[in-house]
Amino acid sequence: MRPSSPLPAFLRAILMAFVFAYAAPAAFAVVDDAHSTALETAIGEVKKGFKIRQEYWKGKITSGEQTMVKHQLFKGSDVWFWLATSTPKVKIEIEIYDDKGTKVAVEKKEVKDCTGIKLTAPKTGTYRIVFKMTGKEKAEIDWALVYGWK
Amino acid sequence: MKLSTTLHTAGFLCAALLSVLPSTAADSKDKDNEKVVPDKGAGELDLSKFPGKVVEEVIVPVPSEIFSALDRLGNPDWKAQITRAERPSFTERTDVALLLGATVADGFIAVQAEDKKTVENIGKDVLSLSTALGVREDVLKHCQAIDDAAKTAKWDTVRTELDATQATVKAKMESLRDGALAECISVGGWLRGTEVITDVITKSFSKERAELLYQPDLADYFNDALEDMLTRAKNPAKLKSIADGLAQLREIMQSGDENLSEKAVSDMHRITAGLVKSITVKK
Repeated sequence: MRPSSPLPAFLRAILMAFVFAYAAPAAFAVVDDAHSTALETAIGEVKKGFKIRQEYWKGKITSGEQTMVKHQLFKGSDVWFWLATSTPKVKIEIEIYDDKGTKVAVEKKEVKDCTGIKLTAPKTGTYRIVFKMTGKEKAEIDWALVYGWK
Repeated sequence: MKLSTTLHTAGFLCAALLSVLPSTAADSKDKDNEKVVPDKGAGELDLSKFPGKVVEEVIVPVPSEIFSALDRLGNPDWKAQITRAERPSFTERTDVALLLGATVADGFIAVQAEDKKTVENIGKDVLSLSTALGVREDVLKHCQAIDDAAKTAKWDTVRTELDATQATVKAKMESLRDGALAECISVGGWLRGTEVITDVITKSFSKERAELLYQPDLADYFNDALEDMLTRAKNPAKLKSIADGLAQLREIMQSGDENLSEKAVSDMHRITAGLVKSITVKK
């Protein structure tokens, strides 16, 4: 599947290089389409001082299936998560819950094929990033989750 | 797969290019950034009945995430936390991996203390331990970057390179289907970090500072990872004692919910100091 990036491929490659040069010199990464879309979306926040973790999480889910990723966060940390797909025409829903299962206040930013969600951790603990992707019925949808903090 | 050096170099060159393009994608992303929508948060999720897939037990933060949080502790005496002893030479790979993790954590402490000489020495230790794990070539560029950045006091770069070193070794271990060793690196670093942080917090206790230590799911995750390794370890005694210590830490963390008492922090320090000693000293 081709990335659904609005950018020419060469410019996308440049932008990815820019993200890593900015965030993590000599970083390594396996480049896949969903991942590169997430990184493109992250660029604006990287310029604002967010550091991007080199490792990222990815997989495939069936349309409509919920998925949860758990993450230890520290009180006061600003964290952006970017969830992207290379599967066309997918609706992305993403929320963050604390360790008691209470939804946490966030900011969201939706662009084509990627949704970013930001929280300032109100307390230290494990947070649940819960997401659902909906496309064609029973379709397998690929996803990549990238995060950055400051 | 690694980002090639060419691509990396291109990144720096492109930073300049991007800054002069009038309508680059970066700009278009900036416009997208303006569409941030607040969500005040409301609703509950029954964690015991989650209907979907849980991808990861828990994502372990990289050291610089933890130390970014520690920046909010003010300016404790990080120099007092630096310990410089000769690194023992282990032959067992799990021992080397645990020690590598603890050494990377020492690097972060030296950065907090802005101690150039110690950072340089730790870069050498990291290279030596990576050599013992057979990944010298993979981390060499990071160690050189650590050395260069320390000499010029570019502490942010040192942090980034220490993160990158750990991530590179872990990725290599996982590519060699040796994910258990990768977990040992995380465990060694987390224990050394927790030892130091508990000491810093004990010396100037407040509930807000102690809350940073509330990480029961991480303790649980590491405990499970080590328990899994016990059946395959050549010398399981050390791993068993670390797994037991992690179980104790988890109990303490959960004893007062997120409100850890001064005694709880002190107990955590005692336990982690003992475990770190078992990692950094050859019996």
